[in-house]
Amino acid sequence: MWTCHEPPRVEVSPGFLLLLGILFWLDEGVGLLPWGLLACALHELGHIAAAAALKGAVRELSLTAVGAELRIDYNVPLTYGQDSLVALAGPAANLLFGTLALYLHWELAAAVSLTIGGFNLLPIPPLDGGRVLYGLLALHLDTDWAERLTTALSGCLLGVLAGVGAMAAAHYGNATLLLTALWMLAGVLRREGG
Amino acid sequence: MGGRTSSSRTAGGGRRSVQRDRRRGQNAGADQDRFRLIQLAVSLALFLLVYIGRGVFPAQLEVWRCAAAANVDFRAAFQRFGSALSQGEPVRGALETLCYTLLGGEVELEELPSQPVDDRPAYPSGLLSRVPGGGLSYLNSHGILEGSRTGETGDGAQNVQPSPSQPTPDQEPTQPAIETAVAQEYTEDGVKLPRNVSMAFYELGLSETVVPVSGVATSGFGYRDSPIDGEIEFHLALDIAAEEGDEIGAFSSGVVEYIGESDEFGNYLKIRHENNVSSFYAHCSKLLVHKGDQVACGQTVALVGQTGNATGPHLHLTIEKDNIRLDPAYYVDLP
Repeated sequence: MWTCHEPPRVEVSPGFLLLLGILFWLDEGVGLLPWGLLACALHELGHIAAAAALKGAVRELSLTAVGAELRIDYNVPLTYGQDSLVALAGPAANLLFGTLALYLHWELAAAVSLTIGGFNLLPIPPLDGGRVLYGLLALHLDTDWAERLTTALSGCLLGVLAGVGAMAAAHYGNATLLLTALWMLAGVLRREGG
Repeated sequence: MGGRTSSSRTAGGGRRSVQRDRRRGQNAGADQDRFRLIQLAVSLALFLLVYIGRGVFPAQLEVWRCAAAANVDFRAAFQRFGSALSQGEPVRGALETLCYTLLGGEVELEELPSQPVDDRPAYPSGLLSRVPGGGLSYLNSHGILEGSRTGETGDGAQNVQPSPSQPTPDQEPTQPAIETAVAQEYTEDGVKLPRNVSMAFYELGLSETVVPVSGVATSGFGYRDSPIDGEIEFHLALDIAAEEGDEIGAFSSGVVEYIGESDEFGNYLKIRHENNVSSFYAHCSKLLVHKGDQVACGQTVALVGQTGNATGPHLHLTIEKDNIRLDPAYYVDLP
């Protein structure tokens, strides 16, 4: 396993606490949040385990309003394929736990874990699916074009999601998807802005 | 809710993060500190707004909360998704259902329940998987399930709709005086009651009624310690212990308003009788009628079981008049 000489820096942004607070409030009487947090933790552990297998050291874990971000240092830069593997390890951990939970008939836990894993596979850059898409494109194109294509594709997808979300909000009075799309947009903008 | 991970300094991100580090180096750390402080202040303000708001104007906050969640029962949606997967239903259908529910498709349901349903299989265990276009039909039955479930917790007034074809008491002057049931807020002893409940006796005005199943009343209408989690809850029904497989007769003649299955009630059905009276039967081992069926008084509609949250075979019987839950013990004579 990986050897971690100095413990990783953990950074918690106020926005993350706010997000947690809001989710906690919305979750009152629903009881999905514990399963959601468990699934997210397993998801991150999946990434960390894959990174460790590739001899990466976790330097920083920052929790922000747009999700968890791992900063991992590798001795040797990863190939695109390896990077995609690390990206896929998170959803794979969710799939593994989801399957186990289904087997044990923890249906709620399974559903939440699989949903979170699947959601992260959306090809929108800060999400794992976006990294895999970029990695795949970068194998065949030069990095600038891969980046442009990824941005364009994720922009289209986000646009569609936001559009459907706005329609759902107007038609059913349900802002869930719209808020999720805006949340992802915040993630994209944050990434683009550095 | 969602996890999101990204890691820089990987193959692709390396170049970018070097640039970022350089930029950071140019701007003094003071800028970043100031930005963080502002972030913290804004978050704190929002947090306090919600936290204090809960105490000062809870009703307003609740409105926002409902607006954010749009009355979607996320837990039920995910639970349904999980059970669909665990029962080996096609992933695509289950996923469609989940997406549709999360989008708020449930809201549309209230316009659907009057669809003809004769082509449906009678037994709820297969109801969801066997119907083509599972999304809508699940939601349909789910919406109904919600109606009964939220109703049981006391806030489902908007979900429980009287059937428009029901004769109202006014239209039948020949009947003996039938009062419209009204919810009580408190018992005579001043104990707070859930919504849509009355401890009072109302004349149902039904020409004939039967005891659906004979047995021992094990839990009556009113507050009790829950046999499942030990917490105090208002039991909105009369529990009649009987043998597994005993026949359950319709309380009176009427039309099957819905049938379904839930974690809470197992296999259940509801029959709408005259005068806006209805009866609800839960934890059945088997349902023997379809939605929309006309049933005669005493006709066997289901078999006693212990499906759902039950500690033994029994019939969970709820009697409603004008959407107000009444004590079934007034209307069911057990030996």
